[in-house]
Amino acid sequence: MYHLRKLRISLISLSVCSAVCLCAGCTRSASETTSEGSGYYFDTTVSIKITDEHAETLLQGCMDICEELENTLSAREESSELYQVNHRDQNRVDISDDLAECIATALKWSEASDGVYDLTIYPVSSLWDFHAENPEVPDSEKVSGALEAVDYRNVSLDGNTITFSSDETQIDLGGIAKGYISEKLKTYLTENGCTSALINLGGNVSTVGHKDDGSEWIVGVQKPFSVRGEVLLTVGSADNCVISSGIYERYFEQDGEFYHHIIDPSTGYPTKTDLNQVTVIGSRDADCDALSTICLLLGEEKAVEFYETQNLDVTLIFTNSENEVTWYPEEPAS
Amino acid sequence: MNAAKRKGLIGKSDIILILVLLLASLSIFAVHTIMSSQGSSALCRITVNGELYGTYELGRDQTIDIDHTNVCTIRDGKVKMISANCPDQICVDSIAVSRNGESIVCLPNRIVITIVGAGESAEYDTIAS
Repeated sequence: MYHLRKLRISLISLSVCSAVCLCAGCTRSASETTSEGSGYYFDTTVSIKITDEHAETLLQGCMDICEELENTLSAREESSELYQVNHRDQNRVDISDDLAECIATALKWSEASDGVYDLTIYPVSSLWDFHAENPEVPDSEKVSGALEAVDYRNVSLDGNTITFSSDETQIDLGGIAKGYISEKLKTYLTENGCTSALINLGGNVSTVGHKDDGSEWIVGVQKPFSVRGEVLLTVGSADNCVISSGIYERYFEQDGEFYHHIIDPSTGYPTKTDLNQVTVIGSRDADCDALSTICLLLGEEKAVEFYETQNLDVTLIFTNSENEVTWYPEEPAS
Repeated sequence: MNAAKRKGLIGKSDIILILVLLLASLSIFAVHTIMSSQGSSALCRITVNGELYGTYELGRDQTIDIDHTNVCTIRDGKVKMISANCPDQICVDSIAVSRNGESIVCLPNRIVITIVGAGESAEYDTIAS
């Protein structure tokens, strides 16, 4: 009798428990270990989504890296290491590992592109303020004067020692720093065992692994000169970066002329290009960041020639002035 | 002893009790599911400088003043930035958002509007620009 009652109570409890568990299980959010956060670095927004047991800690770690690297790589922040290097009192300077590594990559692409992209653009790029309330075209004499200081061959790097052969040489890592940072974030996350993360660093997208449901991340590519959020196409990405450069990002008009923020190091003025945008998909963020700028500066035809000489493992998407899209070498099969 | 034998292991009233409890928990689940599929829990989450400024129901048309710098509206379940004192006006030129994961950013004023809890998700996870 006693045993039967005990069994009865157990059975009732069991069925109630399973009913409750069933409902709780169904309604539990699948994103319990997903953390999302955003911050502001490099005059841009950083947003990161991490799915991991330690998502909160990793997110904070990422934000710390962003802050540290902004203090290293920004040419405009007076407190940064690069600012100090640009405003040096002697032409031989010992620099940190991060600055050395980022400059080495920028130098590599300056050389590979024969100065089409040039890391020593700062004397010119600092004359153009696209963030000003009323941006204006700088004085032409100032531009031509500053242009004389632009030459990547005035920089040499030996380990952590950088040597300038001209006092006027100043470095701008703008075309590469964001890629360098997202690559650092990706490495940090991977080394800490994270298998799923999405990084958007001021429009540069980088992914770690797949989404928590196992599918690829879907990255929309902004349609040039359209409202923010209107996409031209979407691409799947897993462990890849998707990086666009475009003449629609920051621009202004003056006396009927259109001025965008991609400055040609050979003229000191916005580049004349047949492309609205170049998107690069690959695994090395800093390289892809540099390549997107180089291809935009070259224009479609020369960018394809350049691609062929470089033995690159990346995919390019050219968006021409009519917003028509060409994939190179080809659109990956989905 | 005889009574227990007659009733068996589980009596009629026990079965009723189990059924009632099952029904109760299932109905809670059903209500929750219907609520979320109707999107009535869809919210826009607004942060200023990384700090939560407020969350607002997409189901209720309203105009929201954000920190005296930006104004957004919720109309027919969509959020649109309608004015801002920032120089670039990029946020005002952004599309109206209504789907999970879509967002509007005002970089100069450090405002981010994100949609959460909507039934429908955006066709992408993020935008490269």
